[in-house]
Amino acid sequence: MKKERNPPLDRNEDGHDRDGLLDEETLIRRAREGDERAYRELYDAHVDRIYRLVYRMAGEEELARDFTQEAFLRAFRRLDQFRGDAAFSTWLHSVAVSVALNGLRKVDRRRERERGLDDVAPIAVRQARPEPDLKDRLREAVDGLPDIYRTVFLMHDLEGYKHKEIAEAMDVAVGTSKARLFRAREKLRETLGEAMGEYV
Amino acid sequence: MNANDEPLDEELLRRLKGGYNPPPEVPRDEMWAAIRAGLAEDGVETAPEEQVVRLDAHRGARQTSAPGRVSGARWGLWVTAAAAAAVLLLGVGLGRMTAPVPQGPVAATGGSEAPEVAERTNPGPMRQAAARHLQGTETFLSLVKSDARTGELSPEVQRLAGGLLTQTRLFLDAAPEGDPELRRLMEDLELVLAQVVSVEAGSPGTASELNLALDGMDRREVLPRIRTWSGGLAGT
Repeated sequence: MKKERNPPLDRNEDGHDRDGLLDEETLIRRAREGDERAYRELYDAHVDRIYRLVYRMAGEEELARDFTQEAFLRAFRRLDQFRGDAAFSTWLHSVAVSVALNGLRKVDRRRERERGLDDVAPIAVRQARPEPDLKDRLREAVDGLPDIYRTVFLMHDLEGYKHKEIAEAMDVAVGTSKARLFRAREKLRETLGEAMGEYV
Repeated sequence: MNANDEPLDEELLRRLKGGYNPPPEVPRDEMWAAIRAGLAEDGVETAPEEQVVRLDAHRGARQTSAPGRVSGARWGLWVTAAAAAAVLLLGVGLGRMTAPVPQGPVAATGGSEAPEVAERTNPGPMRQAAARHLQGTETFLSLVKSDARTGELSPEVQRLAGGLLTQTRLFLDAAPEGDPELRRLMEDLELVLAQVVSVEAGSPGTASELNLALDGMDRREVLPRIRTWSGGLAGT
């Protein structure tokens, strides 16, 4: 997991530390002034973690790329609204999660419409679908979670985010994040049923 | 405590981590090119401040450059290319005037390491010009990657490729013999740029020709080498 930028220590008047790094506050100020290099530094510092999370949520390279780009652009365009009450990373994550969830809803709606056309296929054809293997069952179980449970599960159990980070990114209380993870695991255990027995 | 408070079974989690949408390598350059273009559409301009030192913490590469005014991603590249060309001509001229005469002790080491170290600790105008040129081409190649995704190649990108190709060849003509690393990098860069220049824009094969050039670039690790090389120089 990407290590966050160190707090400002021994910085000169320009905000550079001894390694020539700019602290985040200075970067944000410079970005607001239109310094493109400041935008790039902010991007470089956070893109890996954002992309990883968004990819876990979307599962497709093109969607993950679109969501990541949109999240950064939206955050950069709204830099004036960033008050610095929380870390930039926290704020950026909340933008990214919101972009991804909204984007996935749109994609789901579009696919539902497309699937509607397939529903006219004869029942016999639909029954011909082979029994999913274990890997598919795991995927279907996670995919089947409601978005808010799935996001918490992916962030916490697969990507290692803390409840505090998840809560801030999703704009909920820490207790809500814990409750959603509880429900996600519960649903996974219910859904997987027998398949779980192969591991547990 | 309910069983659901407990983590899922370790083996199950391991399978999920590795099998449920495992993230691939981050396409950071392609995404940055798109973000940069988006910022340019918003009219984001680079303020003419003092020199900005940027340390790319993830690549361990530091780059030093003076920001210029940017009114658009591609316009910015034109400015970079023009500046690089000017610096290149100056660098080539100065480099030729100040080229060191090989000395006995250096020859006695039997390798190219000594002049390499000497140049790295005291980068001459040639290497500085090369660093700027490489930084410009890094941004340019990101734009090409972005174009390749759409299957189109804009005329301005192709014109830029032509300009950068000319500069790269100038570097190859002037690069000191004691810098094989830089020479190999410039040769690989020349090949990629020549391929981009020769793409027939607007034809059905544009995307495949572009992808062929980019595949070759990836195979030869041109972008990582550019970053390493220019970062190493800026770190001196």
